[in-house]
Amino acid sequence: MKDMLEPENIANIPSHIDAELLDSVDVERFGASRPPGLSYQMGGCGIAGCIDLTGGRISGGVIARMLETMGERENGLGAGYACYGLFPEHRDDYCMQFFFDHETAKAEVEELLKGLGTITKDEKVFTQRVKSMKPPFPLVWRYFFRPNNKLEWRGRSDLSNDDFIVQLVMHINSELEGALCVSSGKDMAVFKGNGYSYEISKFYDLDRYSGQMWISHSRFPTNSPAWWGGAHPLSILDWAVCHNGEITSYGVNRKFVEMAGYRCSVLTDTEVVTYIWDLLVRKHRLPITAAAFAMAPWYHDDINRLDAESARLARWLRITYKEALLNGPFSIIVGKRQPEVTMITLADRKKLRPLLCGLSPDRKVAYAASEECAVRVVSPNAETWTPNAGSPMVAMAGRGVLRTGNELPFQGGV
Amino acid sequence: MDADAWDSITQGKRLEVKPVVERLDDKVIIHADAKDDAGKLMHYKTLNELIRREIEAGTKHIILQGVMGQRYIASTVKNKDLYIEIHGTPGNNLGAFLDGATIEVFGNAQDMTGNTMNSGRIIIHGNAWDVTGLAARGGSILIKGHTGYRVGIHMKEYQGIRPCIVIGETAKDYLGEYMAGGVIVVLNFSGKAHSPVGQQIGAGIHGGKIFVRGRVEEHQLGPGANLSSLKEDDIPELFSYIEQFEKAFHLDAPKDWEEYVKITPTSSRPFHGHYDPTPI
Repeated sequence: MKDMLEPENIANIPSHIDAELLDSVDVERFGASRPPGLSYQMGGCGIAGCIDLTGGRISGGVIARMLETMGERENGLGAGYACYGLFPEHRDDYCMQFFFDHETAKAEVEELLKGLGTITKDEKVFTQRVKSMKPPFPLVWRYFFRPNNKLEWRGRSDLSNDDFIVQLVMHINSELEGALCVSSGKDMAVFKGNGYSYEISKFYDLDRYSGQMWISHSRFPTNSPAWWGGAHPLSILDWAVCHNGEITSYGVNRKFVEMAGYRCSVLTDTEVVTYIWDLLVRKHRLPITAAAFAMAPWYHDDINRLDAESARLARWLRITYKEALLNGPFSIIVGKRQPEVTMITLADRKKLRPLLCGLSPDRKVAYAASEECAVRVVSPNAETWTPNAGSPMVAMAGRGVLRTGNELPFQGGV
Repeated sequence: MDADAWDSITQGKRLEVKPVVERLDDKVIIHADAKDDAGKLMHYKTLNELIRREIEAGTKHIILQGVMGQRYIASTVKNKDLYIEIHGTPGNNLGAFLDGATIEVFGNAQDMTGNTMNSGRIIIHGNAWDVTGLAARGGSILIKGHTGYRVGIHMKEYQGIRPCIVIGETAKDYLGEYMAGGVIVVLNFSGKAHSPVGQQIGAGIHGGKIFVRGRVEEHQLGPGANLSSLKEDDIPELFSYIEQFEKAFHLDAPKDWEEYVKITPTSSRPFHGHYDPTPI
């Protein structure tokens, strides 16, 4: 084998095989040192979230610690945080937060926004240089935006403000080069980027923020590129989704949301999950439990054992929303703001990814994370439990934990 | 790691906690909650290196304080007379490939506890979550509380070497999936759950036994699993596992044998004929 690969013998190799490719597979030339390209990393994404159920505020340092404790679950190729209840003084304006690669893109977006509504305030999002992070760094800018009352977008004037913002974000993200809208909800913002979770929290200096709810993600990219826009949370309006796993039904799900006018532009499968939540709950007005069931439905055999009314609803959801079924392993934490700030967790129906929930001893703060240590590090005496596969945990500010995730489908009143 | 950095960690120069390693007469305390200048918790590699050094030095009793998610603790440890006491939350793969030692956790364990363990004991005074005891080949895992999904997946046995997992409360779906040997006992101690196990119990089971105290229905069984009531000659074997549980937690486990059911494989080759019929 070794002789075969000596330079003089390379000529014998068929010309369609690139001789350079041989370097990385030449395992026998290495002794105690590991051959390049064959190093092995343990990993899997990490997700974490916390919500103050009494309406109090949680500092950004808390969520950063939760995520950093699961340091083995990331490899420095993306991390992000979403904060809810962040701008009480601007709670009626859409907070549109952008990545810009150059001033031209910024000018274009500003021109577009000014033509379609009012920018009530705009500011540079605080970022600081972190030594260990490698450039490029996009410019991060925030606009508080109020769309015109008379909406005309592509000849349609019957769009609600929310629909209008969705179309605007889809347009910017797929058409405007050098600009990416990373979050567009009211009273919330997404802070994400390409780096380790501790780098991203330092980059945005999260300690300066506090909010009612944080959800977060540290990334171990498996089948999509690692770039600033592709980091989680993926967000549209006030939805934000952090996801550990793979959506193997991506093609079907993508066609499903594209038929409803969404456009996938960030090269990450989680994007469709965000759009499905928006489509099912905001547009189609499904309750959270019904939307979760559409995404992670029970098997038909199991449905037959439900009571008649639940079984009828379950079959109806499976038939109507079969393209919304998320196949493949996943555990997700979802944030929403309407009617109250809410944290939802959901694992796939075979529970192929870890998910654990917790509640502080005073029952004020609910937690969700990939690993128990993330909860224990911020609340050592928390009560912890694991929600069932395909069953959402729902925690709502002002109302407490409405579902632990161990109930039957459609229970919990949400 | 260079020598200076190592000294500074072990002697606590850079750390807010006293010495990281505290030596008492017959035991050693390792403070896993020690932080470095940047405020970072001790990495699992450092912690495991400290544990290995203590084992090499002949320590028989190691106490880990303030463990917070560090993985692979006490993996591959072979010393039969070693006892490791863990306070805090050990990370994934606690005691992976364990071969002899006893580990006792005063708290909850995360996923994949006792991964492919060969012999020894893991005692958990709280819950142990998903895939506990996967591919275990020997030894015992005793859990006072609940467990998650896929506990005891692909456990196996060889002649007299038989792994066992005893669960004090409940387990979720896919308990004993692809099980090829060994024993799982679910005690449903507090008896609160309608059924102490989930769906797809023993899916693809082709060896070993699962004993469950409480209600199990046919639809909860996976393909290849068979449900039966307890026989008179099962009791001594079951009792031997329950006894281990009682000793570990100083409890009286329920011995109402009529409440127990047994799940066993329907055959040693449950999927024979499902795939390529070509004889090998």
